Amino acid sequence: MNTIPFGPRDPPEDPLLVKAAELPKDVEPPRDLWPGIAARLGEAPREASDRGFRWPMALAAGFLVASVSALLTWSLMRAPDPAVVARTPDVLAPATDIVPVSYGPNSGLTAHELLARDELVVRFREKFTTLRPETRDAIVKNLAIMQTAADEIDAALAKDPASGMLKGMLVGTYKQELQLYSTVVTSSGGHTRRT
Amino acid sequence: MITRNTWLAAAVLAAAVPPAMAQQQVTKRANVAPDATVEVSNVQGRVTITTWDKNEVELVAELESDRDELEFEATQRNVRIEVDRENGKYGRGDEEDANLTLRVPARARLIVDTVSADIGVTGARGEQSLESVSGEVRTQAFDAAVKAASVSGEVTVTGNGGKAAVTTENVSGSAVVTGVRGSYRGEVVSGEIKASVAAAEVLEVNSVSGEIDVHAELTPTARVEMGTVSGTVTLRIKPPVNADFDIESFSGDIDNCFGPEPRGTSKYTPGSELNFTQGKGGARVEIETLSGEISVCDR
Amino acid sequence: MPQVTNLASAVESGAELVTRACRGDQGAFEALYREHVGRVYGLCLRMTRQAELAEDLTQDTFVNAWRSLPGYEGRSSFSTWLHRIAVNAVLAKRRSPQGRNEVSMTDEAGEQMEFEAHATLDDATPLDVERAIAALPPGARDIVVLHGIYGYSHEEAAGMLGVAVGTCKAQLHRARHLMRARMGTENAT
Repeated sequence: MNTIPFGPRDPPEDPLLVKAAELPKDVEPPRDLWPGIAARLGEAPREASDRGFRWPMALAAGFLVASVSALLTWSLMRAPDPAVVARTPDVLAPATDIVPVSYGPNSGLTAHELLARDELVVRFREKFTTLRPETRDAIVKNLAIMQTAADEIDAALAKDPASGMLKGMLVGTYKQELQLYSTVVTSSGGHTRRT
Repeated sequence: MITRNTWLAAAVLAAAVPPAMAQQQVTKRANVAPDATVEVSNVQGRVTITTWDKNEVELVAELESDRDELEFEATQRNVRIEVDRENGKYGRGDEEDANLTLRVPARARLIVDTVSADIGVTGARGEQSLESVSGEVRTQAFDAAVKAASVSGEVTVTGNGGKAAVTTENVSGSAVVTGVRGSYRGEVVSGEIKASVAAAEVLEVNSVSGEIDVHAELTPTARVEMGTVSGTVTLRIKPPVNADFDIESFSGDIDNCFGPEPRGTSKYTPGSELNFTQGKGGARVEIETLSGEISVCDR
Repeated sequence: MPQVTNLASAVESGAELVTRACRGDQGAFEALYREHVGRVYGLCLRMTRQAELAEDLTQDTFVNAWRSLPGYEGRSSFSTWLHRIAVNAVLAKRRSPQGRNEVSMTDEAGEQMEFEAHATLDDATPLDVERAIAALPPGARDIVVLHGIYGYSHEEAAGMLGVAVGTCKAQLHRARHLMRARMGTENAT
């Protein structure tokens, strides 16, 4: 078995997390799974080296991340009193919450790109709770549609990993998700007046 | 580009209206440059903008809620109008609107954002950026850039013959773009895009699951990029068609009125692709789908 | 420094196996499978709580990894990369119509689940903690498995699960509360 350390980066302080960290990382499956895997390895094409494509995609996604960073800075500058923002969720508990789109392992999106998205989601959630219920419903439904699309693209990428078209579509879906958040975050910037 | 001097002017002109009484009507005016930037923020109700031949911005605000505050700041270069509603007390069953009616110079640059308020603009020839979360957005395109976006509301852009650059963004709402010349970029998640573009130089239209229907006349060097994950793309090109086509589908259908039959891309997937030159070529048309339908026709 | 030497040689041999597997060497890929299957199966089992399902997902993970290996750029360690694929396989299963109907995928009802499915775990396992984790609702369980057991940071776990970092932290807080309640160790903190 692997001898490479796999422990937590930050030592957990909670005794329960300490115990969890002490649990065995490896659990042997009850049977040898390799024959089943080996039989399937020849069934599907392997991803061709797609570095030629990754560059433009990475650049496009990088541009989006830069845009998100600028947007976050903008929204923070325009944000009302932080105390007001912090209080909002207590005053208006959301009837529904959103689930950001989950992109599969074939997406090529980096942790940095997803982190930028998640930071935008935090700002989005502050606004989301104040929207009309029907608008919130529409947003939740459309995020589900984007999730379905991301799943379909990821499944297709598993079959055709080198497809520039599919990777472009996945980045396009990511971009649509960011646009949705940004439209809401930037809407009527001054509407939350201190009380 | 607000200078120190204009900020001084702003300080003189600034007028923060105290909390309005219910049903109160407020009128404000300011002299501005012909191409001044007018920024408007509203939450609920309506923003209506028309143009006139004066270098002046006039605002008539009807505030139905006494919890609304109106801010009006103006310099020669910049006018900022904002309705602040008491934090968190909007969009949750109270239907008290703030209706803002503006008259602005025809070349003014407009930046409008709302939450649920509708936006209607007529006759504006300067750049426009109009965004709403759930409100409807209606405007006209002349010869300047227009961006119109609504998450769940409808967007309508009507061209007026000038060479424009129109962008629409929707999520569940739909976009109707008619009579535009030049370039059009549209994005939608589940809503619908219907567009007619004359002398198209750039067309970039994409959806996730929504339906796209574009009727276009292509210039000799036009660049068309359209795509949908699972929706439908219909491109009708006004003849004569002189373009290079590159159409690809992972598992959906491709239907074309001209050119060869689509061919399979891989023995592993049900995908198909279609590459051909129609007429003299020149314009470039790329359309892609994952599982949706693509239809290209010249009628 | 024998441990350092062992670690360095393990990293080197692991990297070599990955390189060879990238080129299509199934023998090298089998060696990678033997090296990593325990962690992948452990992760799938803990996230799904169903041994058979975990076996299927483990196989899917390695098949998907084989397909995608030529695109592996080494930006993360091979084991982290493999775990991302495994987590995605589990999440995709949950979103499938079949996955949605499985009782283990329900939220609060999951708290009532017992631990029989984990019969394959070593007898020496501190079952009280393992049981408490298994009894958590999926969202809370996922973050305890990734962060608590497998040591991923909140940022890494959030990236794998496709949720906000804040959501991860909130789920971990919830998980700790539920686990303490289940184990009766309120005084443990």
